[in-house]
Amino acid sequence: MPALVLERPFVSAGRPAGNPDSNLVRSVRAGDEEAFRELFRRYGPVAHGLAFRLLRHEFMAEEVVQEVFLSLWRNPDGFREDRGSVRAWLMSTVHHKAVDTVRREEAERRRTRQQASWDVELEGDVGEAVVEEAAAQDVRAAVRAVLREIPPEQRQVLELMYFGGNTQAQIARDLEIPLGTVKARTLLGMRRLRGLLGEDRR
Amino acid sequence: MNSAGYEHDEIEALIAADALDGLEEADRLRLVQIMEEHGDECGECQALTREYAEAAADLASSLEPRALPAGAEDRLVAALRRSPDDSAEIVQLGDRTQRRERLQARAPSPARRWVAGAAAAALVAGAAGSLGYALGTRAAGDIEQLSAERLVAFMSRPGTRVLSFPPEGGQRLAVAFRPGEQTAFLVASGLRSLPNDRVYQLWVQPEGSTGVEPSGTFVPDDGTVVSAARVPQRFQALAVSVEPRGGSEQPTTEPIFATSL
Repeated sequence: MPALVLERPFVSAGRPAGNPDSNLVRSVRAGDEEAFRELFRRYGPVAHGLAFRLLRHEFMAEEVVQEVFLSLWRNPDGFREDRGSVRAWLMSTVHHKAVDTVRREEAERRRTRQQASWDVELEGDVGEAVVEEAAAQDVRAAVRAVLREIPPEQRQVLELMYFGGNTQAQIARDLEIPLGTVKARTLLGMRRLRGLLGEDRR
Repeated sequence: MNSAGYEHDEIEALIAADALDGLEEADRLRLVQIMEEHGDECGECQALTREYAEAAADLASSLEPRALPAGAEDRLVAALRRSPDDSAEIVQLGDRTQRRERLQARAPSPARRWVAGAAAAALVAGAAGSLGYALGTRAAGDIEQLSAERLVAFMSRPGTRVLSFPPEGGQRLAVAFRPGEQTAFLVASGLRSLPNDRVYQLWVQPEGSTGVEPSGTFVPDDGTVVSAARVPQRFQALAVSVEPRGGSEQPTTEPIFATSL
């Protein structure tokens, strides 16, 4: 099957479609701070949104984003063009780091389940609102539309895993369903996601 | 099934779940083993890894972006201008293929320990100014310095209060918080080491409640701790006990530190 690796300013924060991500990483390798800033503006808010969704904590989420972008600066060779897009690399690293943090703190996980009563407002000197391109909003709407096409029981597993930081075994326990069912729903859901969004990219 | 004994459906299932960080450790090790023995040479496996990583990133793109605090970009650029000192950590934050080979977290760097110690000593002494001075005069890891800078910024905002626990045999512990807000910082120095299967756990008694809620576990590094914590917007007492690793729903041992507002 063909490898679909698109370069795009996916859900960017206030940037015109311009220099491709991989060009920016090449510039970062050469020590170009402006290229680094551009990547940070392009993906920092999305990365922050993802980290916050998992950690539910402003300071910890910001720390994860900082660590990941510092890693990009110090070791841009960690990104390999033949292994995927800059966006996927950054989001994967942010997700992994945030999940690591969540899992190190089992008590934190339990608190997250009590989120409804605590999640009134997490303060912090949050900066100006994210200004998005209309195109970025369109992309988000498209992804959400695709998610709605995935059967609810599969979507639930994907969301508990990706946004909840749960493993397949934890989900099986929480939903009181066999582990094999969780694994099957994961694969089916991801195949649909990959297929539907793959079509969207073509 | 191929010559190495793997079904591609099995590999695909592992790759798809790994893209969501959803594998149990045994399954991750299985995936590592398969990729080492088979996947690195297999174009189909490499394509699956790429495509499922893109699909996972699409999930991230379904979320609302979240603005970073004002000045975050400039602070980050200032940090990267400082000399790098911990490249080993950076490699660990590389792509998924690299990470599969590095399953466990590294030990904290000496710089991290030093900054943690400075921050803890300064805060338990109630002296944010000293902390700023100390940090400015010693080399420190960029990440750790950023964390400490945020602690200083937190401390410098109006309304911040510091609740100290009575010292216990040279062990000092305090929590910085702001009434009405949920973020707090826990700092400690001189804490005794614990067996590997034990952690310290912070407990908080919300205002008007007779019970306590878990508020995070922590393990001292050379006796020191600097850790962001979450507390209820209003609380009346804090306590710390020693609990099994992973923490407890309710205290299982007597508190070794306790204090109230």
